[in-house]
Amino acid sequence: MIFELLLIVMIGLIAVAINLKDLVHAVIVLASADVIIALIFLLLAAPDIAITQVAIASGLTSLIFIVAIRKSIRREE
Amino acid sequence: MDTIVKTTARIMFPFILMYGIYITLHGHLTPGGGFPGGVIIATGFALLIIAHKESRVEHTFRQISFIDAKSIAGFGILLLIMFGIFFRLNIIQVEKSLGILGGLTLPSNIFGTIMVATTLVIIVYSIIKE
Repeated sequence: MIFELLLIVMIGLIAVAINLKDLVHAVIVLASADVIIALIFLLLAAPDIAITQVAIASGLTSLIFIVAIRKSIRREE
Repeated sequence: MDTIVKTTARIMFPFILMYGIYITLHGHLTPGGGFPGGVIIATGFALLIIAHKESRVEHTFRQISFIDAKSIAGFGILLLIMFGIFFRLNIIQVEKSLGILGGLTLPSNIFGTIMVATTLVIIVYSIIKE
């Protein structure tokens, strides 16, 4: 039950991230979706993978996205 | 970036570094290890590099010193593997009899952390100076 609920919330967050026009806000929403994936890993009894998922997908990838946005334009269209 | 981001990055940097070192040094007893600790340390450096101007940060943390640390850690991993082959030791698995020291797992975690952290910091530097 809780897995389906978390997956529905994650898909909703990713849909919000696709539809946002400000790309920095989209990066932040995508990072929170990755935190929910890490929570699912933690509930499946894999804390190693959860730590790595939070550190990479929600930490380092967001910073690299922000660097790429800073070298390009911030608003879509 | 603006003043709030700069001040927050400067205050949070030692705590992020301390958490990464804790994940590494306690990695053979609890979840964690070389790769997550290295990624967390690299995230701290990347936050500092992105928040400030890269010319100010490079005055303290130069890119060439990260390359030096990476080559030293690679030599350490090579030495550890040759040591393990020579004495027929298992460097991947935790030896329960050694308890908190963890045998050869602790030095291999430390060298792996230095490798991962320096590699990711060099990648961030080369992206931002493009």
